[in-house]
Amino acid sequence: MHPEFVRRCDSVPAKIVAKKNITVPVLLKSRDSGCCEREHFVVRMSLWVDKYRPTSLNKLSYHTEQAAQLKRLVQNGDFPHLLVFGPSGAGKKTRIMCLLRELYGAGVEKLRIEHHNFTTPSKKKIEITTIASNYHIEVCPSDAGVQDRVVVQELIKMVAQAQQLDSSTQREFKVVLLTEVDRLTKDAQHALRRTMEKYVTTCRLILCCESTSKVIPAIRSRCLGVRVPAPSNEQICSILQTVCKKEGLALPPELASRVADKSGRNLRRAILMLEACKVQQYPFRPDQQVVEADWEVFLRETANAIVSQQSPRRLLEVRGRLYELLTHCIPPDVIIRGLLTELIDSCDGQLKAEVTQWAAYYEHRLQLGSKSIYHLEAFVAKFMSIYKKFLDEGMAAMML
Amino acid sequence: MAAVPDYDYPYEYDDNFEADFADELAVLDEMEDIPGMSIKPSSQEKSKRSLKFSTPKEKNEVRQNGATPGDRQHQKRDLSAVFELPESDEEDNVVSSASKKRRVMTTASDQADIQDADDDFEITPPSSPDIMAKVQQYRETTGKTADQSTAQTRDSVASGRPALSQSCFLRRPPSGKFVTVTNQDGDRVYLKEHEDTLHDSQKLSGHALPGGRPLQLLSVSFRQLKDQVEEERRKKILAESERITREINRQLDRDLGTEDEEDGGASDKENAGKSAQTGLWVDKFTPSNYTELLSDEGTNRTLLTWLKLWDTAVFGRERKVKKKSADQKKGPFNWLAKRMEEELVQDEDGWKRPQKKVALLCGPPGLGKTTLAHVIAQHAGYNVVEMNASDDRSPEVFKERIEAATQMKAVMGADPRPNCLIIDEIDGAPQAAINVLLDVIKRKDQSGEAGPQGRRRRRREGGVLLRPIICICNDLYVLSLRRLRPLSLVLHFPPTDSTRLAGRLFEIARRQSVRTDLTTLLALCEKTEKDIRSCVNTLQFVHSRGTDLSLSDVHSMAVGQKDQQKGLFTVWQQIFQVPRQKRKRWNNPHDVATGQLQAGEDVSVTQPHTPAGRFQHILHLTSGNGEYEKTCQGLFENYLEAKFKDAYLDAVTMGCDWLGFYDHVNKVISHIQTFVLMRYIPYTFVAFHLLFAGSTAPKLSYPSSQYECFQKMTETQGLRAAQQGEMSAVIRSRVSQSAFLLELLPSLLDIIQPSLRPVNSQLFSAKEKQQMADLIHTMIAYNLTYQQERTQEGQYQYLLEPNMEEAIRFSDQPPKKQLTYAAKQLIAKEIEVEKMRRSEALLMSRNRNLPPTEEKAQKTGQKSDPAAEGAVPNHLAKLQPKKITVAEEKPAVDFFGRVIKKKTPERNKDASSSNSGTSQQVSRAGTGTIYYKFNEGFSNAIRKNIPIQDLL
Repeated sequence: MHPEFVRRCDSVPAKIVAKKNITVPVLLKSRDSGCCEREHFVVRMSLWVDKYRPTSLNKLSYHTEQAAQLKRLVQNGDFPHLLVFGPSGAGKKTRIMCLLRELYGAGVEKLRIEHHNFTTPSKKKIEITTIASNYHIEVCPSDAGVQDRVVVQELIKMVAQAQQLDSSTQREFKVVLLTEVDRLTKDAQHALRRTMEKYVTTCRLILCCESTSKVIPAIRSRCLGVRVPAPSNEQICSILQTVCKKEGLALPPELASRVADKSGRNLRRAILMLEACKVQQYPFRPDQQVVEADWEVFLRETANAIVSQQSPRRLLEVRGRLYELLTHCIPPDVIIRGLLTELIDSCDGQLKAEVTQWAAYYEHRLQLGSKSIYHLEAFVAKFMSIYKKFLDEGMAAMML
Repeated sequence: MAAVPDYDYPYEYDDNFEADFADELAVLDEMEDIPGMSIKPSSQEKSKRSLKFSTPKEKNEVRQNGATPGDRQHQKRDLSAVFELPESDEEDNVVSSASKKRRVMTTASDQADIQDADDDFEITPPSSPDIMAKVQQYRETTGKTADQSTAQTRDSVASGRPALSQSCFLRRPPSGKFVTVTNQDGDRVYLKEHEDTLHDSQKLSGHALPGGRPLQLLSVSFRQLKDQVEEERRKKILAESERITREINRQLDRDLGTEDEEDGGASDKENAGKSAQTGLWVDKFTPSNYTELLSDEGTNRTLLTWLKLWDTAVFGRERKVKKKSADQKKGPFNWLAKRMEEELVQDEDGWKRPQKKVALLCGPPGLGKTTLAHVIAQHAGYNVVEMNASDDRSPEVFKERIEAATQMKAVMGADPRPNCLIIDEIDGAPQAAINVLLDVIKRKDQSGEAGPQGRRRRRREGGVLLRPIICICNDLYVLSLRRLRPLSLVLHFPPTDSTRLAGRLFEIARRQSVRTDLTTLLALCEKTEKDIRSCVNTLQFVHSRGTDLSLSDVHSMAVGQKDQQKGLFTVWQQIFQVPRQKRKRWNNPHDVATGQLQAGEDVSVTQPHTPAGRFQHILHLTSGNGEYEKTCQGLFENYLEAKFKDAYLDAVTMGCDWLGFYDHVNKVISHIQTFVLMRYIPYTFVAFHLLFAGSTAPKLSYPSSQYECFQKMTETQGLRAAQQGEMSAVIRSRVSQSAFLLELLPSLLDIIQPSLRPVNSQLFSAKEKQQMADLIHTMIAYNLTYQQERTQEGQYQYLLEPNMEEAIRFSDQPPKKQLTYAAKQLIAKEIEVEKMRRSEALLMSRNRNLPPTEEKAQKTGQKSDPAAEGAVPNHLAKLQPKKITVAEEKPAVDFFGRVIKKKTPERNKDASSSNSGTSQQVSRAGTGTIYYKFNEGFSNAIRKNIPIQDLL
């Protein structure tokens, strides 16, 4: 067959297909059946972190006692509002999804993306993307920025006011999963507390956040708190080994423990790092280099720059680096924490407490203000000041 | 024809300037009606009167009726004043100065009278060379007279007759008829023959003929005129003497101690006493002619030169360019002159207009911008039309007024002079109005060579701009003026020379009998930052209180201080700089020594170098500026560059704490709208000043990094949103936004770069194929792909789409190893194919209408045992031969619904007879979808629809 001919032949259906490709997902968003079909083809997760994620409470590999408690909680088909909190990569979301699956069955895994439009009282249009199944809806209200109050109110009303048609076969309530609750404004949180009482018959809320310190007490008291602690290094190691076994790879325990160490007890990162190691070099070697994120390397170099010299000029250079970190969307509290960890390592024991205290102080002020660069620089300047004084005193003492 | 006016070198302070413009100065002076003193009673009066003079008919009337004899008198006197400036400090008595003036007047009178009377009408619009020559000639002769023979002139004073003979001498042959005379010394002079003016007056016409030759407009014979003038003068002298007697009597009646009055009494027309009540001194003492202007000479000249460039377009007069001599170009102002020369050229279009159609005067208030514009426009022979902020400036009105001013001309009124539009306070005009102005300026003449007829037509349609427009503003960098700036001749107003200003103030004070001294006035000038208006107002205020102005008054007064907004750079500069001791000028040492600071006194003014003074000064400065956010950013950007001694960074820490405080307060303000807290913000700046101020301010840079940071951050967020937006729901729900950037992406970008063997994908081993498939799946799941892009060097490369590399990589880190071009190309292709395959499959499954339960089961199966599922990737799975669902053959019906009998059943038979899968497919495809198309001269190819799955 002539190549020209072939191309001409396939061009016609290809065009149709391409067109469908654009239009179909849009159509599917509003149609459940179409949606599940789409998922069937799209969800082929080959990233280990997705592939080996447990889907039921029974299969969770750590905090099994908590898993059992959760299972008992939903056994009678009902549960209170939940506030799930814990560090990133500890498995909050996994647990929540397992819980929902326990409650509603496999149907909760048929997810679809929906776009909702809200209009604020000031006639501003907000678009929010939610991920929903037939039984639950997941939303990150802080995507709307300062207008998150409207989202919280309107969305929950919308979900809660629609009663389940057939409550005999289904649960009587839907679940609204709000993520990143700690980023909610106070307004939105206050709006939430009335809403969650009012619609308690038709919907349950699961709030998910890293820290409860930014959740107002009124909400904390209305929810059952579920703390998901980060897995220990040993737990991470064993999980890494399991993953490798399933993949048919041999993982030296030294490498596993080093990966776990580097991940900072973050399981997601540990698995991703392991996979990156595998891509980099296989078979594994115990002394293999574990690839770190660029921003971590950058942060460490910044800390080194601070320690090596303390002067206004150096401070200016550090500022440039801090700006760069911020432009890469590294949250300022992560920066301050990262700096502290790095700086403390090069500090004398006497200084550690003081430096930590100042870091906490400036981190607090960071939360109070809005221009993070001022506070970051303030912390760096403070550290420089303390450190330099300490060094010079030490020198003076040596001379004497 | 002697010296030709030279307008080309406004910045060359050659002696020629005075000579060149002398005629015009003379004319201006002639318009003036107060002799000697460079100040006139009121601008309104002035303009009215000057109008009269420049109007030939009016003048004739005046002359014929002899109604205002005083006017002529003053004219002459003024002319003389130009050449013999009276010493202001002269303590002559009234009578003597008056008589002296009269003497000079008479010296000038005849020549000026006779010749100027003739030429006057064409002087009013700018000078012609003829009169120029005469005036110069005249200047020379009078100068000579003054030098050589004072006795002679004294004689002439005594006789009261004019020294006619001398004033008629001309050094060079004049135009027209003349007689040559040589005296004993061998000096040759020329006497001009005066023709009968009747002859000239026949040629009545407009201002000038194209040739530029002046025309006489007199309808009365010259002799008659002369008689009239004679009579006028007699009357005037009588009136004058009467007046002087009155004046002396009055003065004698008043307190004898005030000698100051005498000068004013002589020069003023008895308005010295009453004017204090009548109006503002600012108006009263507005300069009325060019020589009186206090503003910078260079600026004045440039504006005048620019205005003169309009002559060709407005008056139809050719501009005469003087030959430039080489040595003239030297001098310190050469580069400036050059720049101005470049700007001040006439356009080469049909109208010969200046290249810059608009002059834009800018400078702080009170320097006399408006006055300058008015005076110069008057001087160049225009009728001034002013628009200012008090007028309605909506675009429609604005347009109407501009067109009225530039396109039309008074026909009925007594004043036929062309208009010059002055738009005052243009920085306050709305953008739309300025756009109208821009349209007018930019309007191009399509038929530039159409000649006068074309011009007329065009004008009716609102054609090209043919009149000068002068715009005046305080702030040149207002947003609305941005487009106007490049199109206009921008003239910055430098501050007035304080000695000149003080001199003028002293003059005013003397005439208004305010007792003061130059030092005080200098101090006043400094305090008001050389704001003329403010100075004069202060003087008047002091006068109205009936007190004298002393140095201590100036220092203690709150008068004259402007609450002017300072620019951001000034603010930063002052924050980073310790004020010098020099600024102590306001500080009265005596007060400080005795601690007698007055209660209401502003410490920042009196003692800016003390800490308290600095504190107050910065507080005042920053709160006056009001742009806290920008100020703060500027401080933050620059404070580390400042020179300060700080071994342990204590000051820096403290400064940072203040910034933190500022940030906190700001957030509270914006969050709960407690604007009360706003007043605490400037203290941050005060703290910065006290911490970081040095003797010299650092090189300040405009703070932009915060904005840049914000922009880049938005960019990164945008990339992330682009990637996450199209990710499938399951993946998306797993990772939060921040975790996505922090934890997932860095590793993910490493994972999607496996080492692939650089061979054709067909030659991959099973394991490699698996690896490839995984890669493809991952990339699709996370909405990544490669896209071909052309670099600047013209090479092609594949980049990640969305380019998350950018969002993740840091500047100083070495670039990580990349996949090869071929590998990326392969991946990109595979991704496309896989995507196509999926959508095809999706389409098929939808068409098949599988029950969803089956799907679900399949999916849960996948979930529970992913390892097993992963073994057979989708694209490796064998395509199952499809069942053919033979469509129920509907009986074909014809138009009337009758069944048509089949005539060709052979094809069906063929299909059923074949039993292999492939042939089945072919036949399936063959049923009705093969068609032939004849393309002329191309091919007779067979076309056929093939599903994409068959090819993948």
